[in-house]
Amino acid sequence: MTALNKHIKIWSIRLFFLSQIFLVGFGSYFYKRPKVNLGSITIVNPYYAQIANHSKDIPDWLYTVDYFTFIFVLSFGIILFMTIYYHTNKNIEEKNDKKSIDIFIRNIFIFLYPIEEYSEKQIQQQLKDLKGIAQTNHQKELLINTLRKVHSQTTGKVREKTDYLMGELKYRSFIKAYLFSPYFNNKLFALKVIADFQISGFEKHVLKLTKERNEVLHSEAIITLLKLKIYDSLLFLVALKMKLTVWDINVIIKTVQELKIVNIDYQTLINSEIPEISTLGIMLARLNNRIDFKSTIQKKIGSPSNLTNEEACIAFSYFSRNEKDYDFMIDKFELATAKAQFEFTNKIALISNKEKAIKFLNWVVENQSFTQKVQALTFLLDLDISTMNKYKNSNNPLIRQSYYQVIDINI
Amino acid sequence: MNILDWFSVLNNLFFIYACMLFAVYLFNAVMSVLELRKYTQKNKFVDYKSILSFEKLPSVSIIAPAFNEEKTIIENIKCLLNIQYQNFEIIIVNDGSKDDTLQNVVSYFNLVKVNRAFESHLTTQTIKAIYQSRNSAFNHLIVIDKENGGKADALNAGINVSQNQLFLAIDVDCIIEADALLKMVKPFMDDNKHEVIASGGVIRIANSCEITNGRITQVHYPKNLWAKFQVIEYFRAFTLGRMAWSKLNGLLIISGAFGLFSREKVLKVGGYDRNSVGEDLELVVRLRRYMHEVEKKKYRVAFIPDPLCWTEVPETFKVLKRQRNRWTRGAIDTILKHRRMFFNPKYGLIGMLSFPNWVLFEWLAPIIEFIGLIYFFLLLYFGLVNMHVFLTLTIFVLTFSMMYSIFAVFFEAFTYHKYKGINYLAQTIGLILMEMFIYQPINMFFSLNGHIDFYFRKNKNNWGEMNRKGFSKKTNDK
Repeated sequence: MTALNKHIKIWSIRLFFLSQIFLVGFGSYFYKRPKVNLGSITIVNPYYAQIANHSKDIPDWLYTVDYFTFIFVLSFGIILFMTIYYHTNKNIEEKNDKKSIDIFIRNIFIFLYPIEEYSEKQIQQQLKDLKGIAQTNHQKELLINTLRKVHSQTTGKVREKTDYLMGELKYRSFIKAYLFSPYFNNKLFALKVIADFQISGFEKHVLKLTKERNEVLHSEAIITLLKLKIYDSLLFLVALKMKLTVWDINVIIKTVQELKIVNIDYQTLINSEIPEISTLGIMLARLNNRIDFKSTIQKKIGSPSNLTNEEACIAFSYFSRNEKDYDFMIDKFELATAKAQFEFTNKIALISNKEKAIKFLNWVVENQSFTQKVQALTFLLDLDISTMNKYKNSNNPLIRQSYYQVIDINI
Repeated sequence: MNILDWFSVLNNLFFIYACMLFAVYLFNAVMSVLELRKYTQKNKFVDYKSILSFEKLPSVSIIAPAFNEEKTIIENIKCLLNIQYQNFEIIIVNDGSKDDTLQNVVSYFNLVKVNRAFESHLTTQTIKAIYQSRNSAFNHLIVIDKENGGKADALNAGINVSQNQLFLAIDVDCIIEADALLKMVKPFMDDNKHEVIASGGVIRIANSCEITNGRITQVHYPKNLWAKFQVIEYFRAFTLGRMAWSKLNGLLIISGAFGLFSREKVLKVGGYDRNSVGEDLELVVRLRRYMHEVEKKKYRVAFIPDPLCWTEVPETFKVLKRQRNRWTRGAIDTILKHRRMFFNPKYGLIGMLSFPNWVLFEWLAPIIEFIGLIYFFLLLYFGLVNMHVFLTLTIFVLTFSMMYSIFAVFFEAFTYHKYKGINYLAQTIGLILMEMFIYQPINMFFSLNGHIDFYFRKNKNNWGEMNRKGFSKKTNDK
């Protein structure tokens, strides 16, 4: 019923705006005619006589200007009314919302952190009271959102209690109505609630929403599917050929870490032809310390996608363990982005073969950009101060400057 | 054709121009509604704090030029230090202040001179020293002391010293919301169709607001009449104008007081133009031109409608005149420098719509308004004014202007609702009625003055002093 009401509301609003446009259009047609016949109804223009018998000094088009002036005055009046309405209404709404949220938080906390042992009957009464406060859809939304916030900020048993509370509130039909609502915000809200409280039974519809053209709904639906844990291996991302943003990648990684998802098909993700998915796979492999995918990641170094290339370099340097890896990093140093070069230098500077490290660092000081020079000189200060000191009088002013910066900060 | 025919042609031209201007305004209103709707839909449930724990986040340098800011500099830096972000540095550029700006900062934050190396990608006045703090609490604060070279020069020096991917150019006396950076970087991360090269934000007016510890704690409607007029003007400019152009990816200006840029791209185009007083507008136009001419990639200049930055606006006729004069000179300078973009299809929508809009309705509007006035008095002198027509057209313009302004006020009440109280609303409505007779003609005069200064006087690159009252007296932090 709620969903139907929402559909009726959205179409009524559209119809209202369309009718306004129609009225303006009809008015511009009508104002220069003596009358208009609409079937059996005749509408007489009371101003026609004035227009028809206008003085010669007044041009015809001036009546068009008059007509638009009338529209502007009317619009000004309507907008002014709406401004006053929204202004006062928002003031009241903000106060009421604050009051409601305070009550919700108080009641939720009594339930989450009871000072005494409550009987089942008392618990049911508390729930009834809580539901009693949230009568309107807006209040229900506020209550669920408050609970959602508490849920996201708690762990362990308290979090489990919020899940229980959500279940006991029996808002399933309300969430369903929101999910099927024509309003974008309602859908988004429902997806957030389904994801956070891992409410099952809506998977099919959520999957449908992943194919939405609207990118926000689309990416929210992906996160929801992920949180519902029905596609642990993350392969649905590859199957659906998802074009992820850096934002999505971050959110997915955060979710994977929070839910401690382990069953991930790294190989398929890393080898995906979609650079963003490949990047996600590489980052997840690094964060979960999956060194067994080092060679797969290595192949991604030099990828045309900057994003993939950078993450592949960072992950490879993280997994590098032997001379062969270090040589590879030295060889590919110039392919790496500035951030990845920083990671490479960090790694190579600390290898056991000091001679190789010093040679590499000297090469960086002499040939690479200024930030790399500073980083390499900082390592040289520890590894070989005499080599480092030769840069004190370098002909290259940037090397000299970098030298003095390193000395100044470290000594 | 006799003289009356010529008058008739002129009449028609003025009328057509006014109708086109109204059409642009209506278009702005519709576009801004669509864009704001999209923005709120996209970000309503975003938990910005979660960005702090993101794995992949761009690093940011906040660059704030300071010139004779001894009254407010400490509070302003403290406000910047409160900004929430993972990986950022604050670079204060003392642009040859003649007062105790540098000394105050050095002693308060326990700064010492450091040998910090940097690449001079951009030419600037000599950097005398770079300071960093001994106190680890301020370890991401860097202060550059340089010879005076103007705002653009100071920003360029900051860009040279910064090492991060993005830089936020701000006016040091602005009050920035703690989550401003989190909101500003989001467009750089959530668009995989375009490369985002810059993002701008809404500037709100801080006059008469309560400020505690460098934060806006209570928003008040300004007490000063000039500032009140500017509130309505800023509603129109930011909430309607810039939002609308952002919808079309045709935004040509990011306010110099608050804008986030890709450092790499800004370096590629040669940084801020040191010879322009409208360096903010000029940089965005040059960046866009570069993207079209050189990189030829899909790109976007984003705009955030959330009120993230609060600034003190001029409260006296004299200071307002200087500011508007400078804005006009900056706009003319940019338009002339990039005139080849005007109706040039090579630049896509920017060349065919944004730039012509700027030329025709931002630059030319005050000139045409002035010519219109002269023309009217001429007709009046010769007894050629039809009073009925004149009054009808005046009311037409007046009602449109009122409708547009009230829509901007409605938009604010409907969305961010920062100003409370019915008193504010009553005053605003009153001002909307008065604006056309007081504020707009005065603004036209300021703009004409800017034109005269640009073409006929030598001080076309002079900034003029911006005397600020400062917020520090309202703060209670000691």
